[in-house]
Amino acid sequence: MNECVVDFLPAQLRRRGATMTSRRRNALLVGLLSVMLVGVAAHSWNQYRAADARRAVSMSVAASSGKVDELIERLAAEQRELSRRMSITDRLALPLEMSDLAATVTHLMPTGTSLSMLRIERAEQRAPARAADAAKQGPASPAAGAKPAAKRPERWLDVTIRGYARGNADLYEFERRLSGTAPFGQVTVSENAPIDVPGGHVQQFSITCRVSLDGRRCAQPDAAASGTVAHAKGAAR
Amino acid sequence: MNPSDHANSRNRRGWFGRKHPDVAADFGRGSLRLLQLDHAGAAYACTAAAEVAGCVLEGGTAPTSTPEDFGDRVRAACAQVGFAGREAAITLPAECFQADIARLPAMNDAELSESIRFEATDRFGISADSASIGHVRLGSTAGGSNEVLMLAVANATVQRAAMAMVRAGFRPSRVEHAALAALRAVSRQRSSECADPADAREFAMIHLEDRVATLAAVRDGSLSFLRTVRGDWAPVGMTAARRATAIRLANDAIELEPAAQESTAWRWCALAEEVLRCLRHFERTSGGWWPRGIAVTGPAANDPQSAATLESVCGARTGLCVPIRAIERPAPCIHGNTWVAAIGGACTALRQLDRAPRAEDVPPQPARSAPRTAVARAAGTGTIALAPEPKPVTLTATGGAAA
Repeated sequence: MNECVVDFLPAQLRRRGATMTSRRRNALLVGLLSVMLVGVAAHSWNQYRAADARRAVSMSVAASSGKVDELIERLAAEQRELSRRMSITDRLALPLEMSDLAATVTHLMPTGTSLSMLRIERAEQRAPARAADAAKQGPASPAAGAKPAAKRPERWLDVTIRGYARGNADLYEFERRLSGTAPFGQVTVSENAPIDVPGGHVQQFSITCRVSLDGRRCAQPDAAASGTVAHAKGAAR
Repeated sequence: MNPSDHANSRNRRGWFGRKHPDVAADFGRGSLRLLQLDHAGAAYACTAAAEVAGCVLEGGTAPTSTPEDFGDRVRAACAQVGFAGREAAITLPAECFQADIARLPAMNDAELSESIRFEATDRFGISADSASIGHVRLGSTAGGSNEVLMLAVANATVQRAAMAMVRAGFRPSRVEHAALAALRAVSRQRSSECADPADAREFAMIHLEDRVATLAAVRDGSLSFLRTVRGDWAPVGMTAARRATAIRLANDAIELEPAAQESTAWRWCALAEEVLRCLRHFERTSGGWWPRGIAVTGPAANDPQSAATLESVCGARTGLCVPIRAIERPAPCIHGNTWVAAIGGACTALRQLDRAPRAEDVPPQPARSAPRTAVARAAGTGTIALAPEPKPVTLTATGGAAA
């Protein structure tokens, strides 16, 4: 069947319809473009807000970083001050009492021995820092990498004991006791001379020994020393 | 515009181009029928349909509305129905057209258009600027000349219908003659249903409107003759009770009341005599062609007597069309021959129906000189479908109930 389609739509109406279609198409495109524009704008606005928030946080952190640095600097200065004071304390404060030391010496003296002079002198020897010593400390020490470690000065007490003994036996007994008792070290009989006294003679002696002050800071004396000192105190009472 | 141009325009679909079949807008004298069809397997499916009471054309049975008012009513009605797309194929009733056949020398289409333009203005007495003129090459050629059907419609009429549709939110894609649109639907239906393919290629169709009956003869599958017969063909007196009587007649072969039968019989006799004269004229000019069947359709084709009278007078098997058979899931409102032009307008872009021959229980074809006593027998064959009582406004969506 040959179907015939006779169209009576005037060209004017056809053009108008085409124009309407074109306008509708353009309106759709414009609408689509507007929607896309609004979407992009909304996305950009959100991005701007997020970036602004991040910037505000960064600004806040940057503003407070000065205070943090100041605090760190203040704490570091305080730490340095404390270190300096601790250093002074280490240098000035003795790890043991002089009375305890004197009590120990007198406690160790044999029965026939008398004490004429007890002199305690503080001494130290500042050794120069050596690169080899610093290298031996290794990278484990954080301070080693910063600067060469300063050699801690060796400190000790020179104790000089003068007195009289009935004989050499008492003198050497006294020297042996001192040598066997901490914290005395390097016990040396520096003088030993007989002195005539009415009814006989005695041995005038002088013993020097050294009490090391290193490694004893803020620490209790070892048991033997403390026991000796405590015993000396008890004997003194 | 020829069918190939339509196919090309359908193929030129851009991003925002037409994606849905056209909505057919069939302007009647008392209502506007809107219909949209789509493919559904072997048949068509009704996507949406609506009938809006009122008339925007001059001379209707309903008070004439302005295109704006009527368009607003159509828009409100369509808002409740799911029409897809905005393209509208308008069909105007045959009474709005002037038609005549001219015999012109063989010429190309451009020359033929100009010739038809001058011929139509001369014959119809119209101005070429105030009317839309179309033409159809008829099949017959004799002595090196062609018969061309000339059709003309006033631009004002087209404008009113188009403006109403534009106001309703549609974009008119074409304006057609209702009878030609109905012929398309009838041809497709016959090609699908007739067991003998010749019955679908050699037939005549009578499109009945209230004031104009259009006779179209299809020979060898092409429109070969068209003639309009003016008269009063409106189904006057077809009340619900009268129609119920006719339905009982169709089912139980009960005789009509003699008084009622005589009140309308004269009209169909006059029409049948005129149709017989036209067919005899065409028989002479075409070398003895006679239709194998006559299909009666159109808004006024509700009276089974019309088919019976035509069959008895013209001697060809005649029946009222049942276009609803070509539609699956039809909306309740689109039953009846009133919708055949809308169906033809809606199915233009759709492919042909699949072949589904129907085994009809029909009597043998009567002789051309069959007596008129065959009226009762023809009316009782059971092949006649009657339209329901017209409704002022019927809005129906697919799958929904009639409003």
